[in-house]
Amino acid sequence: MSLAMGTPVETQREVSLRSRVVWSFWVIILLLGLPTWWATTSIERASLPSDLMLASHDDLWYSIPVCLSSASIAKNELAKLAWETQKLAKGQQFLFKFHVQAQIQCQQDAVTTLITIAEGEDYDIQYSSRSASFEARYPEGGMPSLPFHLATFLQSAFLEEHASVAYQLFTSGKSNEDIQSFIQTLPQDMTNNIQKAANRAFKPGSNYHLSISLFTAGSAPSSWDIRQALDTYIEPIVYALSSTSNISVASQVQLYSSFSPSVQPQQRDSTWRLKKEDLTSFVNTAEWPLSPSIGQGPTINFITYVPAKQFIPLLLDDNSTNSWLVPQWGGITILNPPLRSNEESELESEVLPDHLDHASLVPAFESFQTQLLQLLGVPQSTKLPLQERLKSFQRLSALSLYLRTSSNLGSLARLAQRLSNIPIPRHVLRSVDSALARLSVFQQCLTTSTTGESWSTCFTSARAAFVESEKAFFDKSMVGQVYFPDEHKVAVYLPLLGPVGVPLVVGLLGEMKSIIGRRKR
Amino acid sequence: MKCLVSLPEALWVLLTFVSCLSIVAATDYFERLDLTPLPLGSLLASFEFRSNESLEAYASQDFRYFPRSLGQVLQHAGTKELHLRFTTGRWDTETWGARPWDGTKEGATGVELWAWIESDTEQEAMRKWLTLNQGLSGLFCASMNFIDETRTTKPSLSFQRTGDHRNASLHLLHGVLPGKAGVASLLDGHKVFDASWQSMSVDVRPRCVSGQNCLVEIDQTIDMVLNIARAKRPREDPIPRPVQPYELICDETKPYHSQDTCYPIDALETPAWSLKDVFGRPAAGACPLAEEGGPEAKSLCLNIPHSQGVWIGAGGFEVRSPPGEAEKRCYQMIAGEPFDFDMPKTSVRTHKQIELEEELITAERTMTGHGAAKGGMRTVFTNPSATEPVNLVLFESLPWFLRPFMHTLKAQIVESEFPFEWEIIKDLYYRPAVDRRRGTQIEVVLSIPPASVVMVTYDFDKAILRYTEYPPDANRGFIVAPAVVRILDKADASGNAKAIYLRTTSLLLALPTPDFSMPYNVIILTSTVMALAFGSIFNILIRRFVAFDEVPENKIGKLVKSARLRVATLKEKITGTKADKTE
Repeated sequence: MSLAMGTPVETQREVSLRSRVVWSFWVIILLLGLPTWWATTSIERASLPSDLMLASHDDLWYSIPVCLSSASIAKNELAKLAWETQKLAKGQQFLFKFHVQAQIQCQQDAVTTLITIAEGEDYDIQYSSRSASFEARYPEGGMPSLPFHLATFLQSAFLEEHASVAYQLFTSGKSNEDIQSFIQTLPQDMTNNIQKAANRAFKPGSNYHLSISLFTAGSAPSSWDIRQALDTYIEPIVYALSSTSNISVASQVQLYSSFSPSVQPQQRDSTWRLKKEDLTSFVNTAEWPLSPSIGQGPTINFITYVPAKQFIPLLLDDNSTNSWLVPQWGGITILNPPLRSNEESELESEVLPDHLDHASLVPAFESFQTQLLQLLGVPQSTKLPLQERLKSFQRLSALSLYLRTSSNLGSLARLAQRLSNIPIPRHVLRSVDSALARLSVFQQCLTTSTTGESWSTCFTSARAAFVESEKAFFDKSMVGQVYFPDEHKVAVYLPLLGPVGVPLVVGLLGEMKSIIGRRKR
Repeated sequence: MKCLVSLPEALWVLLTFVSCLSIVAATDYFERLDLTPLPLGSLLASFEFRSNESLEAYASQDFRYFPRSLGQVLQHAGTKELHLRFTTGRWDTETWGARPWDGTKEGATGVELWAWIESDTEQEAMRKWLTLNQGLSGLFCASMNFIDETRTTKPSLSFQRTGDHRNASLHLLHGVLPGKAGVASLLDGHKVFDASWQSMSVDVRPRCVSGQNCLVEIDQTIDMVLNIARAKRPREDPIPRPVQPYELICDETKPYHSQDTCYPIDALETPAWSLKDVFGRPAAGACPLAEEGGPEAKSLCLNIPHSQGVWIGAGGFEVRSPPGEAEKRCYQMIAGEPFDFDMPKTSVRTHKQIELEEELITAERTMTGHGAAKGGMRTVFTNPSATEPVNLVLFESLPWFLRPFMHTLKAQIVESEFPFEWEIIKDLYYRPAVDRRRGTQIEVVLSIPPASVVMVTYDFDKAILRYTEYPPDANRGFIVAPAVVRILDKADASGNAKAIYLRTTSLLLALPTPDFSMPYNVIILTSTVMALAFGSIFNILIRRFVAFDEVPENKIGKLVKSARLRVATLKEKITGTKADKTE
């Protein structure tokens, strides 16, 4: 200090008092001021269990319950057969194994594959839709090699399920070397089919809405036997999938609704043809009431379109069927109902019927049924009958719910790590905890389930885990505060921090200087 | 404009004026258009579309006559009966007479909604009500999700169930969102919606015939008052242009009337019009499968005197009302044949006009007082009848920031030709507001003596809102929902009780509004004061104070001193020489 020379010397008391003043101000600011400021302006962030959320479980496998029954074979004989089949069926399919058990009377459930064994002329395994089970036959004295035949049959029949599981794990980034090399051994057309089916289908979820609409270009037909058609074609599938997916069905009728004005059917011979490139723009999104249904989950639209009388019959350009599928959206069928003779007016001798009966709806609903299965992602294998494919689909969808849950949790954990400003409320943590708990229940259950009953607990925990993870990931309170960054906070407080801070810092500097000066002396 | 898709069928159809919708069995679908020419060149068009769905099909979501999206929202929110109104403009009682449908199909300016919701507890009912509002808000593109708890009331006297309900645990909730109606603003630009007054309603209610056949009925109406001259403007060229001088009809009685000055009277003549002129296209013909005979089949009616001539096209034939009834004519259209008529130009001087029904009572609500703290509400009822008193319920749903004082509620006869004493206020139902949670609900049963004007007044305080509670355009004011007046004890021709409603206009309440840069000003001012105080105290504490002469000079001091010395000598020199010269 320049006043050191010549100025009266300060007493020790004065110097120490001043330094005590400076230091106590700084102590109060550092110990009380800053923490208070920090606490009152910080964002609430619950600490997420990131390790658990990011953990990948690629050592995944499950068992497919198979139940053998026979009226002619003794119980212990049957048990031995089951045991041998199970041992032989353990082959290249490493993602699941068959759990074969023998019972006198097998129970039908959502996942178990039933095989009835009877004596016949030759080795032969056929599906019988009457008993909803496979019927295996063996020639007289052919009992010893029956396990081999059963095992080969199981392996080939479930190859596609195995491929689908491997593909799902592969696309969700949870594959290991085994899976990658397995995918490479698969025939090209099978992987192509699986890929195509995955692109067509909706993302796996636990809730779906079906909206089945009848759109007519004119005033007729204005009613249809919808209940009967639904009960025949749609409701059985809804019921069969009820343990993994909750599907609600609604139908509507809308008159005077024509297709997109950009679509121009061409006349050829006595028919009207729709060009292939028009099929994508056929849906009149501006006028048709196709708003999604209320509640969670995507809406699958099925549209029956009855063209105006002058455009009947309206056919697709190249296709023999009159319906097409719009990937991840729904299916459309053009229905050309038989005209009815009209006695009332002389101008028009034939008119469209007022009512579509069940028989005329059959072709449309048959294609809706297959389209629904495709849109849900039910395996398209030709080797297995529909019932078995639905069982396979339930296992696959439980697995994909699990994969989506873990990917949701992983994304949430990465998001929380990446964005340090994002608030994480306590209820999000609760959802995450509950999803994780249910996920571990599911993992536990997956490896131990050997019966249909225990599989149903897997389904419920997979669905619950998925719902909780969606709730956590899409929680709206997490987005609100992102746009209030730290710089903003500082800016608001700068009028206070600046004028207060400058004397404090200057005081501290002076104090430092005098300390250094004293040291030198 | 995307949301047009989701409008219920009737609203949608109106735009295209295709006169037929979902139909099959005759009793399940009904449609009608009533046209009533009003004075001053206006035309009241009332559309009604009614359809039924069996309760069974409705429950299993097989929608045929019912809009799917609306049905799903109602089922999702457990709503058993719904009444939804969109209204804009003011019904001019003095020139247009009584309201269409006795006011039962119109709402307050903006959106009005009341519904009966099935639930066991009040909380659950409120939760479902909010779900319902959100669902409808998406469906109609109107901001109905803003009908929150503060805008919701539970009327006890003003609204009656109109459907047949079996379950007892139903909760009535009523909400008003005053302001511009969503659908109305959405449809803006369409010729049809260029109306002086318009109201759209959707009513859904369960109906049981003989307790067995239960139906869900949806009734959709659209009423609008069109200015014929304006509606006739071609669609391609909708720009209004001044009337040519030779087309002006002048009031020749005015003293200043001359060749170049004119007081125009345009109200005397109604221009010629046809359906195509007013709606842009003729009616598309009868709905092929709506009822083919009987009174319900005549889906287009004109309320004009029999003496007036109308040219009708080939697509329909005319049926006139029998003598004794109100004069009107209805048209039975033929399916598939377009139908139109030509209404010739009419003049008040030469043509008999249809007599308009007079309103039973008129109500006018205004705010009184001045200043930002206090105010008053005044509702004036005029009973024009010379003999009949009118009993009514005045229902007011006030926002919580308007705090009425019930002890100041007074009703007095301002003007009367009725010489006797009369008890005006018969009953009162009052549910006070809870700040930020619910509004005030006042239901007053009044009796208005014949040939009198009654004024109902009360005072209120204006609350001060929190900074974040102000809307972006806070200085515009806050809209107070219109009051609903339900007239009691009236019966229709067959002796059944009849509901008659009318609504006052909405009011604009000016609240004390802060300057919205205030928080930042406050932050800066407080910060400055605190920094000043802190800085001086801190400086006093850490500075050392010494007497001036105790301090040796520093470099700057020395420099200043020498500079001053030099300036002084220089000055001396100049002044010295100057002095020498003068001497």
